[in-house]
Amino acid sequence: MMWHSILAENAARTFWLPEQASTVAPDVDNLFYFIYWINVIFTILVVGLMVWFMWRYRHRKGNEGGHHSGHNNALEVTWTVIPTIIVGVIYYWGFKGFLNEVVEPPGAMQIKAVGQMWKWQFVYPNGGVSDELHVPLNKPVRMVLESQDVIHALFIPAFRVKKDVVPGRYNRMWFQATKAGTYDIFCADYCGIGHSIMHTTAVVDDDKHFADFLEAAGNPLKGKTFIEGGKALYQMYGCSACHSVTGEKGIGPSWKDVYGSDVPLSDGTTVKADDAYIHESIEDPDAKIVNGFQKGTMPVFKGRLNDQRIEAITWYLKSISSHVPSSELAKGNELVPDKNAKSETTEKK
Amino acid sequence: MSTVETNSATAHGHDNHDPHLAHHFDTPEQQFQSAKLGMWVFLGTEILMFGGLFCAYSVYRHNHPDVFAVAHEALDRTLGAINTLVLITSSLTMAWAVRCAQLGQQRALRWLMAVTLIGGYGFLGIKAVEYHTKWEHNLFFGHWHNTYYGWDGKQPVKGYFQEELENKEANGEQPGANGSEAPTAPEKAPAAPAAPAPAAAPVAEAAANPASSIPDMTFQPGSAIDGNAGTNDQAKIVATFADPRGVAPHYATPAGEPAVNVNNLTPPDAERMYTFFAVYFFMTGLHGLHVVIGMSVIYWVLLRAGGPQRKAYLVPAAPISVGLFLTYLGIIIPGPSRLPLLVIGISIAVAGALWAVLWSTFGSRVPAAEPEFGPNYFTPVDLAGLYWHLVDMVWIFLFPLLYLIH
Amino acid sequence: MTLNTGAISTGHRGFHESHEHADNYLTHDRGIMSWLFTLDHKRIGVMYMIAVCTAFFIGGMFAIMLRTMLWHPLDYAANTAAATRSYELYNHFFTLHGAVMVFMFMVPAIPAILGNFVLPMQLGAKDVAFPRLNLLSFWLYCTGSVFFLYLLFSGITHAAWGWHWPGGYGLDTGWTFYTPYSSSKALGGVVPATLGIFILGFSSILTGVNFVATIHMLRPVGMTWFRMPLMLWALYSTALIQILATPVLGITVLLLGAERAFGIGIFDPRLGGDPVLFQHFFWFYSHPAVYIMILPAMGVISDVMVAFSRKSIFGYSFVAASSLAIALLSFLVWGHHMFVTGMSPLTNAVFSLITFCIAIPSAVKVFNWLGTMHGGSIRLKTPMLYAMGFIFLFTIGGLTGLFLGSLSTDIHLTNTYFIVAHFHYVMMGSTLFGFMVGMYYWWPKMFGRMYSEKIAVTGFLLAFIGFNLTFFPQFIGGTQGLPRRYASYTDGPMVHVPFINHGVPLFVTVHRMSTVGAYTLGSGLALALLSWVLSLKFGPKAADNPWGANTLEWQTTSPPPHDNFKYTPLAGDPYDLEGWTYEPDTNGWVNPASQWATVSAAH
Repeated sequence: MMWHSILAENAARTFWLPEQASTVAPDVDNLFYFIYWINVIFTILVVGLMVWFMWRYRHRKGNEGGHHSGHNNALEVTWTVIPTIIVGVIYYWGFKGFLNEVVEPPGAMQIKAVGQMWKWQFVYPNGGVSDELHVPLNKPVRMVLESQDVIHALFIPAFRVKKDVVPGRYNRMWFQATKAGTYDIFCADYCGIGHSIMHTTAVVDDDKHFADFLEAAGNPLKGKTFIEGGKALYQMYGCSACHSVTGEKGIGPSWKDVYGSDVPLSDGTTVKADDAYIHESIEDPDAKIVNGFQKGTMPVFKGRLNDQRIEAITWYLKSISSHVPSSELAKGNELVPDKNAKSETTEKK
Repeated sequence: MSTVETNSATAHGHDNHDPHLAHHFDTPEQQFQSAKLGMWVFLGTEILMFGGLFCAYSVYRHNHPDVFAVAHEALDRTLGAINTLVLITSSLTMAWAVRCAQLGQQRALRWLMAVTLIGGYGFLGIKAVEYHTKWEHNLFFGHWHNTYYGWDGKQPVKGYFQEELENKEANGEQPGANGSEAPTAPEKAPAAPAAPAPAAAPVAEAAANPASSIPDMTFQPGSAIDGNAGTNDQAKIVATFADPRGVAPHYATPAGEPAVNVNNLTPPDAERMYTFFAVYFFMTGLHGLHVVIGMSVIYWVLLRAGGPQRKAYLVPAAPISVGLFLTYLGIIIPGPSRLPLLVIGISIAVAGALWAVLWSTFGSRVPAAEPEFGPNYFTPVDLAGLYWHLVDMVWIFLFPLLYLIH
Repeated sequence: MTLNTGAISTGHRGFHESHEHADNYLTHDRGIMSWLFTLDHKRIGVMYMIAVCTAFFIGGMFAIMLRTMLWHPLDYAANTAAATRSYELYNHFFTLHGAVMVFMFMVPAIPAILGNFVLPMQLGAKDVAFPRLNLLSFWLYCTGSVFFLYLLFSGITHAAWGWHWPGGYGLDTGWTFYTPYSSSKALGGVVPATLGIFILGFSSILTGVNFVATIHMLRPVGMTWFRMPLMLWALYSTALIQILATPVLGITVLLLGAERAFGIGIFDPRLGGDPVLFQHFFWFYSHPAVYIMILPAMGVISDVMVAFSRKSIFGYSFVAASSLAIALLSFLVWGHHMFVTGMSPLTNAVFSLITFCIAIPSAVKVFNWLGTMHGGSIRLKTPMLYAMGFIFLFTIGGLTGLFLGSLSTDIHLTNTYFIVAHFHYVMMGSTLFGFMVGMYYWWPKMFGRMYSEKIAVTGFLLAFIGFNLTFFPQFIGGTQGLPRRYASYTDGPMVHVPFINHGVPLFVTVHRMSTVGAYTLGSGLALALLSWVLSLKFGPKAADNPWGANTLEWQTTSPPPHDNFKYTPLAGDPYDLEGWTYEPDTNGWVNPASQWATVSAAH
């Protein structure tokens, strides 16, 4: 089990560790097993000695009291120096490995990871946005980490990388994926109610698939109707983390049957959920709070969704609202015009 | 540290009857040394507590040098200097009082402690004036002055610097136009800590700049966005290595550069002035609390030094002095607080004086007692003095850091 | 300094020497007021025991509840009201478990209970240097705890009936209170919590001040620094950390509370603050705090090893020096909790290096304990069993720390269940087991009763097995990527297990094993409690020195008289066990040469 990680570049999952899917993983795993065996040896040594002494020197007739061998300086020095050397080796190895993880090779592609409560979003060099992380195989990728609200942490166990996502600064990390596949991404710094559901995946594609993906991500509405596009955006921008489409109230109100209804607000008034209301709720969520929900919970999307995307989302809302008869959904079932589908959006400068 | 001879009572074998010797100590000397050690250790803990605040101050100063440069101009150096003098003098009188206790000079001991207390009141009075001035200009901290939290949804109070900015805008001037450097980074991230326009709803995430929410993907050192974004600090702060850390890059300013002043504050800077005042009020407030605690301890020691025969006027001295202090505040602080302060202050002082008169006249005569403090026992005076010296020391560090350093 | 010859009553409080053996510190004065306003360090220790063990029970209840919730991995991705409520409840549970355990149990347990009771007696003194300060410490502990009780009460009533409370209800920030979640987004009562912690911090500081002054000033003639029992070295090192680190926690929580209440912006980036600054402040205290927890436990082990191996400690000066070294180094390693926050590589490297340095003194202690056992005559009584358990668990806990001090492996393992397992091994497996060692060791001295060895040993076995079952699988969960503080989790990889013809979902298995282990561990600890409670009513009378130790507390009656010693003992080598012989009639040890025996024989 251990030899796999030393000899094989793309080791499979072992009892202790996930599969190795990045360039730093083998070294990290080798150090892990080195420390592991040190642990095993010393545990057996200490516990073994303890158990043996317990039995060998147990109190019985003929063994009434102890000799006064109060100290032995040579022994003290020995068992100080040997552990010092061992930890020195571990320290050096760990530090070197760490430096590899800090300094990326030149020419890394930059992908931005945006952490918000409670969904990840990844922004690609062409401005495309996705809630899954797609990376090309065997190419270095530099992640720039940004938070919308509180501290999160981007953790990809298979790559052996983790970095905190701290509001108010950019952190960065890099990796190079060495094995195609799909791997878990977790949030690894407690961020509230949805901390454990802030889960997504890293997909390592070969070049062609990656290029296809980039194109699709850049134009999320391409080839889709408004309603389909809205539904895709619902996932992509993390709305699904808080708003259900089943009618069930979650961290945010459900989207089902909202459009066209009379929405009760926290200040006691009601407002009709029309296009203007939807638009304002997306761009400035704290302007009107639905009764029973908290101010400051929903992130602000102004500047992140252009008008056409908001329109697509509005059509999606209409399509799941019983207040909108299906006869009025004709426009929503049209394809999004191609010339606007390109990302002249506010996502890209 | 103690120049007092070991208790001669020991030589007579009378340590059993020393009323101050606790049963778990062998000799008064041991008890005294233990008390001193304990007090010094406790003072160490107080220093560490303030140390945390000094650390926060340093980090803030390093991250926002211009904020500090401007904001501290709002502090009155003269009053601060007077306060420093007052505290140092009161430390002198307190140390002198300890010496008097050691020598058994009872009268001097009492008077010197009283003068120390007056010094303490003087300090608090000047502090009250300073605080009042800040409040008048709405230079306070926290949710009263930042629009992000929108505590109760009401229109936030206009701050000192905000008003100046708005006046300038009304006059058609551009904020930040007077020789300040514009920020080099053109974009702000959606999480930008840039504060919104004052009239906006209290949500800071609304990026005022809709032009871009995601920065240019070609990585540029120095393009880090952080709490300095859009401020005068950002222009002056450059990353010293190709890795913008965001919040704590290295501060580098071209030589001969004039300090930013109130006239060219950018909106984010204006909001962040209140950060300085948060630090200011927290540090001076905690220090002021320690002054009050120190005064209470000294007052208690004064009561003990007075002995039971002087209780009739020493005990009412507390309300009398508090009342006089409040009256004094009422006199020197203008505004709506004047009348209540005067009324309450005079009432408390008069009530205290009445109490003193009644007690002296009708209270039963208490025969003069052995003075409590003398060469054999002066521990409480010593410990109170040590605490007061700590309070003084903390101020001696606070004053230059907050008031003097440019 | 004159030596008080003891027989004559001293002090102005009029201590009456009693000739009755029945008069001890428990019976000396009657009534609740005599307890609440006592200046007797022994009574204060007993009151702490009741309060702190209650806190342990409360924290343990939260642990049982959260482990029960984790049996089913909740509805992983559903965005339903029920799921939201469950996640919220879970967050409150793990936060309150951590906060109550750390601040109300782990930090005070050994110093405030056993330290208060034993420290003056090991010095042959009548009390600590500042008895009134000691009482104040206890009252501050109770006051600070009231804030936490408020949080519990408000949390329960809100969850059950929707009551609303000012300042928030419950606590859901994690015991680490990271900003900006805790300063702006948290649902719980951050401000009451910070006030409570501030007050509890002062309780800890004043205890530390007391212990430092007592050890410096109240040592008897003949007890130089290097003739003190190692328990006192440990308590002294602990007190140093308490007085130097806790004030920083105080100011940190004050700043956090002010930020939450007034929005001052020291930690909030939207106002120009730095969230990582909070982490620096917080861990500057909290790392030394974990050494506040472990050092006294190690001191207990040292004393117990000697008594139950019938042999002097091996390498006394090395063990004493290692306590001080750990105390001093502990202030320099706080950054190892923050390796992934984005500190510079140089900072990371320095913290990693010093973290490895601090591993060495701990290892030295373990080897010295083994050296003590070597060539001894070992009796496996309950305290020794728990001490063996301590060595086993501390070895694993300490060695797994190596993974975390090393930078590249820490990147992968931090904030996963590996960390949870590591700190439970050192905090619970070591500190709690050390606490149990001390309780079982000094119980006969404190109450004059022996407990049932059978119940105690059964409790130990259940606790030991349960502990390992709870926390060892979590190492595996962590290395495979299971993050901590997760209310809900994926099935995890399918791991092939030999002898079973199919794979098991790893994360689910880890959690379920942990839950089973938690119940086992809980039942073991409940048995321990039972053994103590029963002993008070049904236990046989304990001898003055049931274990044959030579430290000074054993040279007086069990329980001790109000003033600790009827005759001031002379300090010698604390670990010189010769001269003590076992007397089967009293199930205790006697030493004809001890002053106690000499004087009483003369009467």
